[in-house]
Amino acid sequence: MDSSLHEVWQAAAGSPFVPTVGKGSQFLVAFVLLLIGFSLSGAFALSMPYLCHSNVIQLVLLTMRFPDRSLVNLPILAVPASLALAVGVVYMFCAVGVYV
Amino acid sequence: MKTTAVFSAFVSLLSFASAAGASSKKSSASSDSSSTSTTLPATFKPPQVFKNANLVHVISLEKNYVKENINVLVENIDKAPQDEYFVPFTADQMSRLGGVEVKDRKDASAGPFVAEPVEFDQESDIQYLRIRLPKPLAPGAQQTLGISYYLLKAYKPLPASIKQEEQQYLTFSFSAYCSSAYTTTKQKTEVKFPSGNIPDYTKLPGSGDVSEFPQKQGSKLIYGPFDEKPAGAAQPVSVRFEFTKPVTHVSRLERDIEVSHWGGNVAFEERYTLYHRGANLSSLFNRVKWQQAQYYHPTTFALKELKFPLRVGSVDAYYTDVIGNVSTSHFRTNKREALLEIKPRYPVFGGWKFPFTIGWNSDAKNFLRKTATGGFVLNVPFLEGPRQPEGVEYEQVQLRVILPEGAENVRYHTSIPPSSITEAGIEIHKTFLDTLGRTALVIRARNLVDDFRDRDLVVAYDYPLLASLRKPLVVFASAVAVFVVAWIVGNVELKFDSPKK
Amino acid sequence: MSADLLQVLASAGKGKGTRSLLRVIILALIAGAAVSSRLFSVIRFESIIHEFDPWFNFRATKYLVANGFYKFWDWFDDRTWHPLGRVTGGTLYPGLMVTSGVIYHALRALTIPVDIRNICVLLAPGFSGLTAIAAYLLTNEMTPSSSAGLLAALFVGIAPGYISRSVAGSYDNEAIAIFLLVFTFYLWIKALKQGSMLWGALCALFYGYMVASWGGYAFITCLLPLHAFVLICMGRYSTRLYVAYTTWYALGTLASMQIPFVGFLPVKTSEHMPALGIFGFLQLLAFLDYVRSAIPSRQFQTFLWLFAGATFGLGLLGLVIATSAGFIAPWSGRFYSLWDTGYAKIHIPIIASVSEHQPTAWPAFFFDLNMLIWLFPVGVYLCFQELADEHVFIVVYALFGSYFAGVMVRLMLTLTPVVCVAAAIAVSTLLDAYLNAKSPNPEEVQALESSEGKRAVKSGLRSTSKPVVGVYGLWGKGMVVGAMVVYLLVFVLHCTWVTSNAYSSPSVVLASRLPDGSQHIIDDYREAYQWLRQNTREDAKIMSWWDYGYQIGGMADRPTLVDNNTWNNTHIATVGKAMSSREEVSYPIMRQHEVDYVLVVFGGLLGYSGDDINKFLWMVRIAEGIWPDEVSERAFFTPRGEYRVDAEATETMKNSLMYKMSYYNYNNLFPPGQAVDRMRGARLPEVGPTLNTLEEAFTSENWIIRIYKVKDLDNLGRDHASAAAFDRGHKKKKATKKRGPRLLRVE
Repeated sequence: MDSSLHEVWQAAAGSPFVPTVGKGSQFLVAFVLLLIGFSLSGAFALSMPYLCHSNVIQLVLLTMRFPDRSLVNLPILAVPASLALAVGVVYMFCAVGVYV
Repeated sequence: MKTTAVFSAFVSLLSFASAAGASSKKSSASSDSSSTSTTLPATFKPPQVFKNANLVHVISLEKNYVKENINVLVENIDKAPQDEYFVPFTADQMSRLGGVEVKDRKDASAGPFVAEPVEFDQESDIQYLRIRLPKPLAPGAQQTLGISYYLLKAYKPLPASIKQEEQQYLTFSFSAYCSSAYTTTKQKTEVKFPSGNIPDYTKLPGSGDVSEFPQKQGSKLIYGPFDEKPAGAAQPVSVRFEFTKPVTHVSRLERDIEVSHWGGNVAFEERYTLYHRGANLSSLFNRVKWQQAQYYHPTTFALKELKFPLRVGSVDAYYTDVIGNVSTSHFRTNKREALLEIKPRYPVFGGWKFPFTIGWNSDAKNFLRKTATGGFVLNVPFLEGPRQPEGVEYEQVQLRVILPEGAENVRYHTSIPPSSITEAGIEIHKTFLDTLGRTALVIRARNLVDDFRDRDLVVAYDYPLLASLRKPLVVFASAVAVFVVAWIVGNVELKFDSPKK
Repeated sequence: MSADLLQVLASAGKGKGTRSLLRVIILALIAGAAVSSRLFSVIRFESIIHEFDPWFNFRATKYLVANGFYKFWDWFDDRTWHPLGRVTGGTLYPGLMVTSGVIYHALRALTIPVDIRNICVLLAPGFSGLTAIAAYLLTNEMTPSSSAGLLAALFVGIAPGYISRSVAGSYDNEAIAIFLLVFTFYLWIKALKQGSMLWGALCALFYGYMVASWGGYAFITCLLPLHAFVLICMGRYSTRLYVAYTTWYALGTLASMQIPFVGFLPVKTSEHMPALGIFGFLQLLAFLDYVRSAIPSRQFQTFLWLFAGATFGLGLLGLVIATSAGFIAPWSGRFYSLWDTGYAKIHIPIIASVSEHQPTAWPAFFFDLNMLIWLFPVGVYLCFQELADEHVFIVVYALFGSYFAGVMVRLMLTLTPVVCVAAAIAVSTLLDAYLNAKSPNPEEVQALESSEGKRAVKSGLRSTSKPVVGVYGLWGKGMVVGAMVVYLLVFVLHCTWVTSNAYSSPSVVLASRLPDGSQHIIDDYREAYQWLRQNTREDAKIMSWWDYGYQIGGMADRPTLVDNNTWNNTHIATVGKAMSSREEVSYPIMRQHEVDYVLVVFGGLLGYSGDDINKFLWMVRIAEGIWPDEVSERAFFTPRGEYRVDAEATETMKNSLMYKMSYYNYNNLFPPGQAVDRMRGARLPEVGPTLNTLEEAFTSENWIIRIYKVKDLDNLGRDHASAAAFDRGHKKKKATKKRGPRLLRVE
């Protein structure tokens, strides 16, 4: 028990907590991030040797000058994909009502 | 399987943060324990150092719990200054007693005095509540104490079972002389009823100019004034009065408040175990009579509806029970109010039970603020039960404030009478996307009533940035691990005979 | 750079990788559509378990999750079939519950602690997404055109015939079984085509899973041998068939015997004998194959005939002897009713009383499959044209499936996958022909055809020469394609409409419309079940007709006498007898079974058709099956053969416990003499029935559920009739009795 907390509460009257992404835009943000994440994952998957004949992936590889099926794909595709997925997952949880 | 392994690996990676959090949790938990009740010898008798110069005992039976108010002018008759005043209760009363608050009637700024039960002998029928005066009372000096408390499960229906269209009568037994550990010079007991229909009450021979006690004034009975009575004097009386309202009793309320920083949300969920302690049905439920009574005599002792006025800004209310959604609810929200009206699945008669769950969400900005020092402070109502004309009593209340994962240095303060709080501590609650579990402040209280609605609870805590990033980092690490594994698998030829290009 | 880009863009859509990417995306979208079209009831109502059987599965799943697998395996449930109890762990197909349990624990491990109820509710839609993918794989084995696979996936995803059993909340064995069925068939075709032991073993694995999940596994057990048999008869015996079949049979049978409920049935019952027979037959063929390669052909012919005849005769004789000696159980009643649809009605009323065991009405085919039912024969015809081993499978499956779907409404479910596959083959063949943007050049075709014609004359067999198929006019193409697109769109509309209107009602919760168009929920079932759960003793026994047994177990959590697992006909007949007899007869029955409460469903006030009075004749029939002397169906019909509930109802009807419980106190709701049963449109007698041995305990808001408490024995030792009469204030009961004979004398 700490009765000074009331003063702390009063003192903080000017700074209510506002989340980084408001409730209204959580779904949009999450959806876009997940879309990016899944697209990048798809690109990563398609750059794997057994799938690398795709023209689309060639297009991607061509435009972004990715080397085909090399270790470089991991930092270039996998890490941003994971980042987008990570934040996207957290916000998607919030957007569907399970506020984490 | 892989992802779990990654999780645990990642957990160990981040464990330095958790170690810091855990240690601070421990320290805060120990500082929270405020039980200082002393153990006295079994032969304890309060020293006769006070005299009750004048005492007015107001017993209010208007709601389905009893509210008692003792206004007493105490005088120190000892030679030394005294600061401990004892109030006796029976062991049975003690178990049903709650919400004790003691004030100085003359001096409102003196604040609530500390009142706590004295532990001396579990077997003894008389238990004492000790009130500590903030300033010792000098010999011969006087002070007016206002002691108020609530008694739960106070009534017995008589007759114990009635027909569903009949009126319900309750009985209540008490002592016409206020039970006190000291000599009382002058006293009066006032009993307030919900209506003037009081068919039976104990009559006592009068004294002075009054021929017979009690005197009836409208919906009030007055026993007394009585002349000097010794310590421990008792005069059992009982009253029987009409109470055509449900005797709602919540034997257990579990209230969860979940704070989400990512979602900017505070989620509330309350699980009620609700009983009707009134008269049982003498013949079982008859739907025809019930439907007819709905038109002709809408007042009944069955519980038909509960109204929860929630804080403005509450949204997404739900009302379920163990087998799913209950469709008989209505949630009205606008800028000025958020009123949740729920109906039980069936009218709840005496002896029946209806457990249910309600919940709602609210924006974090309504309850959560950032402090100047970088911490957070949360201010939520301790209790938000239904507001009913007949009142609601709560036997057990468990309040859980689930803070974000990794919150530390938790401190709290509540304006609920401290004697009602039985236990408080920090626990770990694991749910969605949690690797370590969230910090949960758990407060258990007992014998509360709906008068304590909207008493607030302030919780302050720290929430480091790294802890707040834990969830995305865990997902990130697992995803990267999956990619790495996929890459390795994709680049390894698993055939016995692989024609190399 | 940009030119490069354009070039790549132009060639996109032609490359193999791009196509597979597109296929994956389309397949994912189809799976998504399959899942989301099943969510009507969740959105409209709530996440709730539907109907009857799913409540048991849900309860069992909760038990599994709470107590662990081994306890579940040994579960003896004393809260059903009171006082007998049920060895639940050994008499259910655990696949469904174990699947949900595994998903539940997997999600927990991923820190997503989803409520088990939500997993159960969403299991069926989730698996229907997988079914779509399995259908895609299966169809891809039939035809090189991958559009057929996608179409099949789409058809399976939204065909009402399958949706009927897999909407969110219909947590039943079929929810996962159809996926397993289709996937097992896919693996079988794969194994057969490649002659691969690996695929055969996988097929056996999924067959084992199927056995663990649904009693309908017998369909696979019969269909695969049939396929093999047809192939052999067509002279298509091959080592591929031998490897695939024997691998599947040996491993699959072992796997199926691991399920306690199945146990030794695969070697004991007639349903499983074809599979065993073909297994033996294949060994024989393999042996003969070997012998043929070893000895000259003339001797071989004689040897073959003698040997084959002798073995077949011996096998048949052995089967007959084993069956008559009781080693092999004869066909069970449910199977007999598959051959003779009238069988059950006469011999086993309990099977006939289930609406889903009735023969299918013709409109149901159109309702459940819409245009697919017309495309189905086309697809089968196209299979005939190619007639490789896998096409034979489709043909056999189509015939077999159509027959059973015609016999039993419920088996529409097993027909749906093959209809979708065949229809998809038909549609894709059509579209492939008409969507081809390149028209053949008439002269070239002429030249080609004439040259081919010459060749055909040489070979002498016209059917072997294939004419060049091509459509010349763009207009014709547009017409056909346009019409097809319209048909497909109408199909989607129909599926959505049927799903939304016919198959998305939880039936626990009813919805009605208020005059202002808003939805009003009628929640009587849960109101009453919740009342039972909260306000009666924990072990209060509830007697109700068996339909509600699972719901009472699941929602009210009280012991029941009978439930939807209709394993004990006599016990059900006992309940039927108690319901259809006079109070004096029923009361001892209820006392003997320690019944505390009796629950009836009454739709008279609301006009709800699924009530007990409408089911009453089945109770009578089932009771009559066991006690023909005490219960007679004829006595419930008026002399003119009408089933009435009004003043003209027969005395037997009016005195039956069911009638009394349904209408007790009902006339007090109306002005005198105006009580109306809105369901049957009957005006009820002015004086309602009296109940002596029961008292009304609870009636739900719309009177759908009525619960009665069984009175204890009278304190003063009177019989209930006189005690009740005394309570009502008829003190002259004895006098009226005396007046009886005097009246006779007057006559």
